[in-house]
Amino acid sequence: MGAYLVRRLLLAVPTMAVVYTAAFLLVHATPGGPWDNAEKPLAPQVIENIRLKYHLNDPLWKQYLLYLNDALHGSLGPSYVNRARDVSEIIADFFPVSIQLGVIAMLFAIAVGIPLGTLAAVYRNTAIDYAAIGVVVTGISIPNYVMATILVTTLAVWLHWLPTGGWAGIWDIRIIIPMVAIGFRPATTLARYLRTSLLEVLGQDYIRTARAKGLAKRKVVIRHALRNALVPIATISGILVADVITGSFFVETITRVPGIGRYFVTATTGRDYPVLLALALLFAVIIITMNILVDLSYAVLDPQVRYA
Amino acid sequence: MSTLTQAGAPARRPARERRRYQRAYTRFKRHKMAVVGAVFLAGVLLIAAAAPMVTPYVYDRQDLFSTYSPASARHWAGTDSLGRDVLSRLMYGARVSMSVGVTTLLLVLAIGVPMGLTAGYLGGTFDLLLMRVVDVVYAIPYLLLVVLLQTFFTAFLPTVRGGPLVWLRALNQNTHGIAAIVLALSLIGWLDVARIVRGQVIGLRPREFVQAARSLGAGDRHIMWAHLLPNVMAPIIVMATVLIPNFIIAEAGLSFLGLGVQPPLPSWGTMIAEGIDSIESYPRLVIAPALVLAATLLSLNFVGDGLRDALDPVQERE
Repeated sequence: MGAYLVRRLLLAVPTMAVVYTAAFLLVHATPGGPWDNAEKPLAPQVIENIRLKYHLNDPLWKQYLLYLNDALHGSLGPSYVNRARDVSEIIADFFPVSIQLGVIAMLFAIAVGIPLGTLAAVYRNTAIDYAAIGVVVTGISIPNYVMATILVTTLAVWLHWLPTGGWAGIWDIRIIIPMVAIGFRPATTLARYLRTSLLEVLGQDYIRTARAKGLAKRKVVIRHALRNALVPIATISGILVADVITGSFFVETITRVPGIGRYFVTATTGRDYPVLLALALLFAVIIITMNILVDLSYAVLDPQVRYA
Repeated sequence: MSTLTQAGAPARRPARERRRYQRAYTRFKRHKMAVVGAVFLAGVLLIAAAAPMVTPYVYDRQDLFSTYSPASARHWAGTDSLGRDVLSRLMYGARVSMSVGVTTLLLVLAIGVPMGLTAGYLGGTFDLLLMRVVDVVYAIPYLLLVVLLQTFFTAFLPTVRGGPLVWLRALNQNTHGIAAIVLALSLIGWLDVARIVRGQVIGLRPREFVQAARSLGAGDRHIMWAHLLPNVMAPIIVMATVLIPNFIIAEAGLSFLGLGVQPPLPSWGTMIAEGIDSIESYPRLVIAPALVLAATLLSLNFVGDGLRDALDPVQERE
């Protein structure tokens, strides 16, 4: 297991290197910056000074190594727009909010998705199954920004049950709309995969044995079937995390949550390229870490899997 | 030898193919939701194609004396904050969504299918390289990459002064930024197609009909295009129905963030974003594009499900 972890971590290095190179080249190939303002052009000397300050006149390979060195030491460079602050500081400010919201949305997805998928599989081809499939289809077809706007309109504007947006920590009712909007799609993805996986497990011999020895149906489903059906589900956690990350771009913007997703959107429209690059790297690190954790969790969930 | 393959197989195949697709059509018609979805989509496509002729108003015609007017005989879906006709804008939005969905799909298939066929059939270094690229790209959220590429193209294309890319700059300008979106989406999207086609081809490669063709002396190219391609058509069609909604979601998302279609050309995503500003007082400005987008995506989903069952009856029986 230890050796496997080391190998996975070593394999993540070239992946990360390619991601860094691609993101770096793409961001540096993008011309201009926030100082290119057609209506109020800056003096050429000012632009020259800015370029000097950010080492933009250095050869590309030098910038590439300089940034890599800084990034490995935890400094992600200055922001173009927010001149006084380092990108690392910006991340430290905005990221915790997104992590809280992301984790809560993920818990919501699990709390809704697992019962939904289980019910659909256990009551296969009944009204319950069809209702669950209906919810799943809605989740697949409706993007989170549409979901968020529908929730805000109904719950906040028409019914006045909730405020239209804002953030005051995870214990505040304002978290409900972004939580549902971000978590709904992952919940339905989870339910869909779980239904398929559970249907397969429920057809196995050992389930019939467990039923035959007189165990209650509920116990069989929860103790025997669900435990085994959840193993293949772990593979899609990567997709779910990616869904939560991209969901945060839209939902945080709509519900005015001061998180990193919303900051990312501001950075793209404001052409704040260092922030763009840093956040792209951050998101890639999260996804890669998540995938490694998922593979490791196999060993815990499935005794048949042995890592040499 | 090669005359044998050419004289034997293709002569009979079209008739058999036709029968297969006829059977699929009969099975498709049994899905009520899929048929409803198909009819709705046909309507959207028709409106999208004929938008300049059928819209009651020009999409950016402002009437500052009747802003935020409710639905009436003059404006069936009311007007927005600048007094523009919402119905006309929704119709043009359909044009944007559909053209992005269809063009991106065509591009993605044009690159992904040959790549997948070659990688799956020939294997070797090319296959290995392709799979490594797929691995790396899958480590980054799809939308994040698209946003980066889209930011790049929108900033880069207007700076093109000469050379082979001038036509692209003109195209992007004339389409109000649609070309940049399509480009960003296709540059990543083809990997998905290539991966799935490759998987299918690897499954087909050891089958008898491929071995038979090879032993009769058929060349690699002939086997790929005449024998393998028809057999991966069904999964490709099913995949297309999943890809189109993804592209539409991405376009509306980019436009929602202000990165996509350049105003005043309306996209459903832009309309949702504009409506959010006045959501407290005029929620219908958000609800209208949101519902149209949701209905289109749902229809695509139903049609996709119908096609999957129609083209892949084995899976249905399970």
